[in-house]
Amino acid sequence: MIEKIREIAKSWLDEGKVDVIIGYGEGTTPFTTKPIFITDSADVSKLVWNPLCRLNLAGYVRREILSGKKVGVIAKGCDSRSIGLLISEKQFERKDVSIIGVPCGGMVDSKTLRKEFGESNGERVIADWEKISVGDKSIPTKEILSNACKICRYPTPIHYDELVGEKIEGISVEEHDKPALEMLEKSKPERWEFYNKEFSRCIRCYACRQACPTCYCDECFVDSKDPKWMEKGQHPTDLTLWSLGRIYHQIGRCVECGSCESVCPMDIPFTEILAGMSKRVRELFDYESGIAVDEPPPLQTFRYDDPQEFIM
Amino acid sequence: MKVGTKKEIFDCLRGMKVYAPVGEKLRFGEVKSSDEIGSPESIPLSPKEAFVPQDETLFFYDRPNDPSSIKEPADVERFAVWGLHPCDAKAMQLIGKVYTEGDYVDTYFARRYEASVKIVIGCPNPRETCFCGSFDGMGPFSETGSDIFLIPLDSERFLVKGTTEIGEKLIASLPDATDEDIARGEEQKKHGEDTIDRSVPTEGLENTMQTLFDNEDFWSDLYHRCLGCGICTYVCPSCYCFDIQDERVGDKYRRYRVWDSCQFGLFTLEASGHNPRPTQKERIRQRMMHKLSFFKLRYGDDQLCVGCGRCVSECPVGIDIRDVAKRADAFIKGGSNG
Amino acid sequence: MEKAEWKPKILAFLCNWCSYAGADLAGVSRFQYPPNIRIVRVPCSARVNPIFILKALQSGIDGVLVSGCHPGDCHYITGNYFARRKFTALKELMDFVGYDDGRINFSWVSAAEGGKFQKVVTETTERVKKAGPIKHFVKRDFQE
Repeated sequence: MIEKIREIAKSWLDEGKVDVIIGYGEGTTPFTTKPIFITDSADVSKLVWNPLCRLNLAGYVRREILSGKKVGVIAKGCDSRSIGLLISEKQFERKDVSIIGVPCGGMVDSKTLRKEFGESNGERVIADWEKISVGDKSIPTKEILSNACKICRYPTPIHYDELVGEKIEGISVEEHDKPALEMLEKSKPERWEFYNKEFSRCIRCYACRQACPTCYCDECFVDSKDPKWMEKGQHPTDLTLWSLGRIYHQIGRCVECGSCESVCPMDIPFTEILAGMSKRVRELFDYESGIAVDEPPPLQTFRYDDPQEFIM
Repeated sequence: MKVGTKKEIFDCLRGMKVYAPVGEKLRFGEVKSSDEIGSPESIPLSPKEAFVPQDETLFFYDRPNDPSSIKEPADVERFAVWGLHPCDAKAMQLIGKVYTEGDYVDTYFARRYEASVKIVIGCPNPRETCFCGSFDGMGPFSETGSDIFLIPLDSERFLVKGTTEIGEKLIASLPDATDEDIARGEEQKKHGEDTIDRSVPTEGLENTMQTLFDNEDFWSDLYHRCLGCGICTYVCPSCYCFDIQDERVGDKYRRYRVWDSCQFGLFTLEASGHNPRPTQKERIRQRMMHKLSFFKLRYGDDQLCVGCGRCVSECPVGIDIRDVAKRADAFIKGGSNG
Repeated sequence: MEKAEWKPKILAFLCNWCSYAGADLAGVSRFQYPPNIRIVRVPCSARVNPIFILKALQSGIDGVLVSGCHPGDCHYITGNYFARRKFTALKELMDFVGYDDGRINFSWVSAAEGGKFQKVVTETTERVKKAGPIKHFVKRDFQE
């Protein structure tokens, strides 16, 4: 599969169809890949494709297009939906990006692998969708997929110019909703205590915001000085307000790629909340982000008969 | 040389506050018993937060614009920090150069540093991302910056050495180490020294980096993928930049400082709207230059990077400072930059 | 001396054209309602950013009411339709993370509905009283 990806990338660069191909290359530490930007078609051999290609590349796509380049990208299902979402928000047009769509069997967080395997001790890491193995130790990939990937409904890219690989079925709606429903089984005070405890570890590094392709505001509400919505310190209420505010801004836009949870150095969980929110958006507004590019996201539009039982 | 278990050493600290890795919080925090002490390797953050807190009150005041209403924060009482590694202890000294040498002393850092008992643990099993041994005069068993130095003997016991007068006094009541213990300690030390990564080329690096400052190709690989988050700066033990904010709660006010990162877009944004580091290129370049060049050129002796490897393992896009040093070296030697 | 009974502090964002006028009518008509609300007049319910609501709660407000024109009657034609979706989203999010029921309230009150305004405020005050004095998510002191 990687050969085909490289082939397409090379031909697109040679034809001048794109100025840059954004994809994944091998990382310098075990269990990682790194995003790479290829402008010379001779470099396409650097492209890799494996369960370590975790990060959502759509944020880079937007940035490169806005700097005037013709962009090509290797997109998983979630990357493709993020691109769709950005197009529906008029950040750029469909014609500005050329997509090599690759159906995705799920990604694994490098943090999980470091916990499971410890050090690699110089041994080669073999990572494919059957297993991840280092030396003698081997774990079936599907047992350690990242939380967001376990409930992925759209592993096959929806928007693409070329599709490389067999289409993969997404998980059912019921399976997707399970983590959210399990969380909702806890009582309200329990949930509130849980989330405040999780958010209390936040160190305000903003990696979640930077990794998210749909967080692109020129001035983030957290940096607003006048009015100042929250302090920059470590008061637990400010930490909760930061995370809740960011998640609120993702409602109806998030494609649940899981990048935010994956990059967080303090292991703050977002999968359940974001899955819960996308479930409600689906139920209330009949909308799933990033699929129809001519439909605006739900909070940017309305219907005359929107639900309003909670309004007196 | 003394010997002791975690609990025995903890008991020597005789009622002073102890900051140590707290496993479930994934950062350093106050611990009340030795059971609560986690391993420094299990948390992404460095012990820096015991000396330069993520949120530190500079002063309180009751009336804005009235300096007479300023109230100082409480005094810092003597406290111990458990779980520094030699890289961290060195980094605190480097921060000390910036904050305490020269005409103006950062009293907040100074009083914390002076009030602290630094318990440093040597590293018999450096991680793959550790490379402290690549820097002159540093290594996994360097005692610089410590008050008490521990060498792990097994999962329970440590060789304990008082490396300052304060440290010696505190551990005086511990039992003496046996010859066996000392031999085992030497074994552990040798293992650490043998396995630490010494391959990152650091000689003359500060000058090499200077010549690469304007090289677009060199920085291109980095800045394209850098997300501009603050992870590297926050986990780094030698990053020391901060932002100052004022806060009001009810009718009380305080001025406080928080960690800031040169990787944030707003870091160098000026009131006029001009930003001298407008893109991630200038920002990631700044970080690498600071760690591998500027600091040494300005303060002499040491690079600001201490080779702890935390930024390498925590960076979500795989930016690797070791790789930057290697490519710089290769560039100068062969004109290629990998 | 008897210990003072807790009186809830409720912040009410009222849209200028409908709800604020409705509140005015309630006053002129001498309809009694609990005196615990403090009113902030906004041009439209859509002006209310959910972050306002969260920040109000963080500052120690026990409960919030946001009231606008009935759908179809917005002075700015479509403001309250957008607001309706925003409030839905906020409610869903706060509900999911288990935030206290009853502290975040919404209503449609027209300029002619002095009576409804009385009912809405009474109901909101009841809900906030039931939720009790705000204890969570409120910043009463500096974090140190």
